[in-house]
Amino acid sequence: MTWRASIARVAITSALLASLSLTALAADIVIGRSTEPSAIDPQFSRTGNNQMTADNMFETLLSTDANLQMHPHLATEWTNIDPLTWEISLREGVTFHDGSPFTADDVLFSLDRTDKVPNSPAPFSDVVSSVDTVEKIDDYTIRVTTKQPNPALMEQIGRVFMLSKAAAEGAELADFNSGKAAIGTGPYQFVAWKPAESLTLKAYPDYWGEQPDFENVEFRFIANNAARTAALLSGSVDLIDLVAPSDVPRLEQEANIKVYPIESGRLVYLALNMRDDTAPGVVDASGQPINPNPFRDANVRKAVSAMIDRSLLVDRILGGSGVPSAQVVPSALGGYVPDLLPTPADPAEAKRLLAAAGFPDGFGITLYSSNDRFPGDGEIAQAMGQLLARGGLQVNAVQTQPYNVYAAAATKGEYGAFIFSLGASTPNSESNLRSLLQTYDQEAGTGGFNRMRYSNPEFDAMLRSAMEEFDYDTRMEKLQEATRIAMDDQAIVPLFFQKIYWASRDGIDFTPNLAERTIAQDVRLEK
Amino acid sequence: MSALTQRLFGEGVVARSVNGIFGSPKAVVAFIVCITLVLAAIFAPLIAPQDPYDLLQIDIFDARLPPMSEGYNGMLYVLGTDTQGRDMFSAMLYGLRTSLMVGLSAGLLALIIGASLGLLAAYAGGRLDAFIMRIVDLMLGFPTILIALLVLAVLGQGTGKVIFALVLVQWAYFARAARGAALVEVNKDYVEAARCLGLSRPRILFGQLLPNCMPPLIVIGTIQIAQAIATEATLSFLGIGLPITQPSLGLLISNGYQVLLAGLYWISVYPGLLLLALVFSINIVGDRLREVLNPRLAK
Repeated sequence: MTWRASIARVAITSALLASLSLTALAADIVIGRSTEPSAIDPQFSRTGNNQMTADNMFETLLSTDANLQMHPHLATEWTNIDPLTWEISLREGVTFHDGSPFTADDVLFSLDRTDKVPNSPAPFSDVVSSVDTVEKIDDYTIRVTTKQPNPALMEQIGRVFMLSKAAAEGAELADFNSGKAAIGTGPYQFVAWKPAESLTLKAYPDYWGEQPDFENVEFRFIANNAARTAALLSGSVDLIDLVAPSDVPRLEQEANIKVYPIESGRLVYLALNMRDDTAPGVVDASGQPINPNPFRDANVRKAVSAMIDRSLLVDRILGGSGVPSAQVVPSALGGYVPDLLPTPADPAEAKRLLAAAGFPDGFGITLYSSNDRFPGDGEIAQAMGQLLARGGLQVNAVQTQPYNVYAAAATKGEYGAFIFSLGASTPNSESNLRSLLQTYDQEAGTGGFNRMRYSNPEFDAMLRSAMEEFDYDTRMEKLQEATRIAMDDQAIVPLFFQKIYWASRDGIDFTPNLAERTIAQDVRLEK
Repeated sequence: MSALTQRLFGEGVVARSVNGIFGSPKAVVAFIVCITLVLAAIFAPLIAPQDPYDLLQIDIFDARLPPMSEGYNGMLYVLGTDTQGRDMFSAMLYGLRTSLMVGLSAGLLALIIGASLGLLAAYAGGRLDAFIMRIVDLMLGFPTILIALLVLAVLGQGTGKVIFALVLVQWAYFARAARGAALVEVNKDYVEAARCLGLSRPRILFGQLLPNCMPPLIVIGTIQIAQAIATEATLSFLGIGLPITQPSLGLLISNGYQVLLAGLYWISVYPGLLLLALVFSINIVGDRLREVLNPRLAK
């Protein structure tokens, strides 16, 4: 036998083996998701349920990793020619699910369409609002000019889902939902969507990046927490998201179930309303509203914070499913201040601060909260009532309502002291500081979630200076400084970051992430 | 008024009801359960080892203890504690009190408003009758829980608001029953006689007509009280009824339901059994009253 023949034999055998192992890998998976998308069009709504659906089929110029940090993806590199002009190189060799190549024309089309999607309930408009012009240099290079210098441009347009111009031009919502226009460059391609039931995908064989492990993927939408857990236990789904914290100990006991925890970027905080001369529910001993509003005094806000035993809340109410916090973003994000740590409850300090503010005997307070927004929210509110009552306030009531009713009233300012949550979806604290703590101004579109109407010119100036800073490290330092200013002032009373959980059967691996997203590409066969 | 008192306490409704209840062993048991629960509710502050509505008396360190545990401060929790460290036994007594109070006041208020409008409709006839009865039809056309949800979503939480919402959804049942009964009576000779004597309209309505319409109203009243208690529990379960710091039975069940899979069965199961006993016994008594007081069913 010649060496040629033996090589040929080895080659044939290994090819056979490879194809065998490939068929063995071509497994199917069923994923139980708590939320479902409102549409398949990836640019229709920027809500988490829609984005994590789109992430399976469509891609963005930058990718977001498990810690919310962004990396080159469909855009490979970019340079600033001057503060207003960016030149961006695109990845070559990427194809859409219909086989056509991904080029600059598709990018131009997708960026242009971003703020023109009709009836969008939560448009992506602000990620392209700073863009002035976009031009094509060649098939794989584009040039973007902005209206003002914008250091965060790539973080913003890097979130826009890229559509195929040929497939999506003139397409309507229904064309995406039927799959006709749902042509992306992602690892999985659209098969069928049955609203309130399931979404079926299959692997795209010519995907440019890491090949998916599963041939067929079915997302099943199971909104009820107990039902989702039960579906995993019974084996009808392989992976579930948003496991209720109270179910975690039960699942951890099961031998063939794996639980994946992560400290999410969702901050649960107590907001103290400063918008009017009196705060709803804040009354003196005779039940009269207190004027001036005590929450406008930083000493009162600090006193409230000093009454709260955050570890106790997390351990007793959430069974440990949280991480006590003293700031707006978790440690994985840019702009986190390492030495700003939650302090233990200090009743003596609370008393001293209250007396300094002119309330040696405390005052009456009503606490408000949702009861279906995040695990344990109603319970947290009640326990907070206990803690504030022990701290020296007269807790007259703890009112909890379903989120739909609650959120609207909180936004209108109808609550004095209220518990709310804010998730993180960007690589650093800028976006959350802007929406939560910047002075509210409807015309300028700032402080959108600043329901308590906190306003501090010093903080605003530092934040603005961070937003205009091109040097990354200096920008992060300025964000840290802004956070320090607001927290020294106790702009909000941070409570904890929620821990969130996924769970799966044995034999697969899931990469948990801060963005609270559940996508098929993060699910892998166990190695 | 004398006619009403006489009919109620003479050979009338009360005597027939009491005799009726004691004529059925099933009803006797239900009746005893009812009375026991009402007494327990009335004397709750004396019986309960803890005031579960006082945030300073409950301790989060004692949260989630199973039945027969001893707490941080040496207190024995016979039925365990909830997720806030509230003694379940005390919480159930107070919850029973809240549930009964809400159910009874909503039921009675709805009875008074509904019966008055129903009698008026039957007696006046014509346009007023048509007007009142079309509103009744409208109210009965909407699902109870939907109206109550809407009202509470707008008004917010609180005992008074829950009672208001319950009265709003229940008065129409009484109005329809009262009108039906009064229509039969309104053409009888004694009403005609009263009219000839020149008695005022209120005197005829409440002195003559009402006592003769009482039997069906009492039956519906009992059933509707049970209904009100159950509806309040549903609303609280949906998170829109009473404040979370003053749990009724429904709210206790709801709080416990969230940790049921985690094995903390006592938070949800015991209040559930108590609610079941309460609504079930009132319904049995109500059913028995219907058998006794309904002329068509009377033997």
